[in-house]
Amino acid sequence: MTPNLELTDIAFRRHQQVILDSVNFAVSPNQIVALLGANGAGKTTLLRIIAGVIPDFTGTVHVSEQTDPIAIKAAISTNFDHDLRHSHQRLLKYAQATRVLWPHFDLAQFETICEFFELSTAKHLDELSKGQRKQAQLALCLANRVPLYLLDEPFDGLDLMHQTQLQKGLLQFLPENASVLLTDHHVESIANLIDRVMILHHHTIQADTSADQIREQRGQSISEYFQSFYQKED
Amino acid sequence: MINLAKSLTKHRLIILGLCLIPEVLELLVMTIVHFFRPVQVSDSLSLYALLLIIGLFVVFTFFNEQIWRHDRYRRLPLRTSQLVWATNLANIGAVICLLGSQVLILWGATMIDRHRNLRIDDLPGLNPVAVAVIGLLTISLSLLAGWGVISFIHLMTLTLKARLPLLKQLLVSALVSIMLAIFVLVFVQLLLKGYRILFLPKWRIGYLYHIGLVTIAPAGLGYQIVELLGVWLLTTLGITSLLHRYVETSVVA
Amino acid sequence: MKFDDRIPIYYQIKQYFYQQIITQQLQPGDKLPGVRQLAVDLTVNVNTIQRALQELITEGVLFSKRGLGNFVTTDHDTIKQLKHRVVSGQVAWYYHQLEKLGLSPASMQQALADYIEEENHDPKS
Repeated sequence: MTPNLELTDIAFRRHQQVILDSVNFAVSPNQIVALLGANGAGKTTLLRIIAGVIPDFTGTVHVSEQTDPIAIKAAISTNFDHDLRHSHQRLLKYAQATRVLWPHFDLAQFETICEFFELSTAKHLDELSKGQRKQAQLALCLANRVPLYLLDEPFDGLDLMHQTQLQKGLLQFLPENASVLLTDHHVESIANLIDRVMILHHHTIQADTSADQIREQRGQSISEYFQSFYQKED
Repeated sequence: MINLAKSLTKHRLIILGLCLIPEVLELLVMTIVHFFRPVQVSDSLSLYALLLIIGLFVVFTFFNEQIWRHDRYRRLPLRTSQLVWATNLANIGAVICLLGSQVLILWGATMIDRHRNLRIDDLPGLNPVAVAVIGLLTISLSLLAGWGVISFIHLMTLTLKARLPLLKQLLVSALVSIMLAIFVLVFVQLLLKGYRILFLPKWRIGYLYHIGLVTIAPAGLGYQIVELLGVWLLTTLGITSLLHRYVETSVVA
Repeated sequence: MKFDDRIPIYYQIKQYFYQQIITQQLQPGDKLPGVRQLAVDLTVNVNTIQRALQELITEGVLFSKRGLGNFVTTDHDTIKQLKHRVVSGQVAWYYHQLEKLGLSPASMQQALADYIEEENHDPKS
């Protein structure tokens, strides 16, 4: 099966500093992949490159075999597409505007997801609590029916109940054959979700292994495996 | 495409407001200048319009660049051409308001220069209903222009205030309130003077004749329309080249 | 459900189903919820659920009817063997724990008998 995402020799510098160098990997359909790395390692930058937001990188990004930037953008949905803090619009109105801008956005699906989260779509965006805002962002992200989802710290700063609820929402509403690439600092809380782990360290992917291999071959939790990368340097 | 223009609502309003501010400034400047040196309507229009139109182009392009730079537009699966057309659609509204504001300026100018420019004696017979309709149109277009400016000011303050520390926020609010107060005073003053146009036949006819004169004059309304279209074309070209840089990612091999 | 992150999760899910079947919370012939529903209920990756179910089908604990879903086996022998296997596994673990403490088999049996009697008179749980 053709991969949903394929990166070839991605490299990026900002102000003469190397941020990413020689990043290569592919993500198959139905995979949920965790991209782990320390703060500042370049995870968010990599996601933004894939999303087409950063223009001046070298290398190629294929999403569902497309290389045209506009086609790629139409095939991707991220949870950082929508900054909901500064608008007084109602959530439903915002979603309706989103439908105009993204071709695969399904408004009915959006309302179903909001019901699942018990989030009222009549609320004003700037009145949402942090948990509700994360719910709204995930709902807007998942209502866009595409092959590739990029989630940058989707559960950041949430209590355990909200985290579990969002994770259930992700599992419930992910389309058939879609892939997810996500970053998170609390590895333990996403351990149940992920098929595969990639570690971004020193500007490149230094580990790319399945979650079960870590457990079966090393008897380690994903969190322990990740930490061992940094202990090697001490 | 209309839906797209509507979705870019916030920025459509900014563009709308941007087009209107120079016209309002023109009006204010003329009103003030009159107290020191009465000027012919056509003179003032050409003098200030040129300067303000240039200023308009610079400000317009700058703000558009700020808007397009934002990540948001880079993330959208839209081509540059689609965004430019949506902006142009929004600009049509701006042009309508601009024409309305032109009429407002003429109306104001009429009030200021009434003794010199109204030639009531040798006037053709005119349908009073038609004249009344024109009067109503004038008022509606002027109100539309006013709405555009106020929305723009409101939006700009919202955008700016979110990023400023408290003291500067208060300063911005104070400045904006003063601007709004001046605008309201000028507008109300004109309305008070202008209401006579609707009720006295001589004033109505004179106003209509005056508009006709100014439209065909060298620096008249017709000229203004051509000027506007020229600015519109220039800004469209400017936006297209700027947008391309930000919206359609090019991969460097 | 909270799973131990050091042990493959599909393996833990299999244990979960074993328990459900042995304690008869899942009766022979019962239909299991769909894969996606299970994933949501347990908050686990769909592929992990698939793998667990696939192994359970291979073991004969579950069987799959095309288009209808996955069902608990109606073969009582299989369930009996399963119960025996799981219980033996638990016993083996305790045996080795006590052996490490240096108990002889006779002491182990005594320890167990004592504990059972205490539990009947004065339940600790």
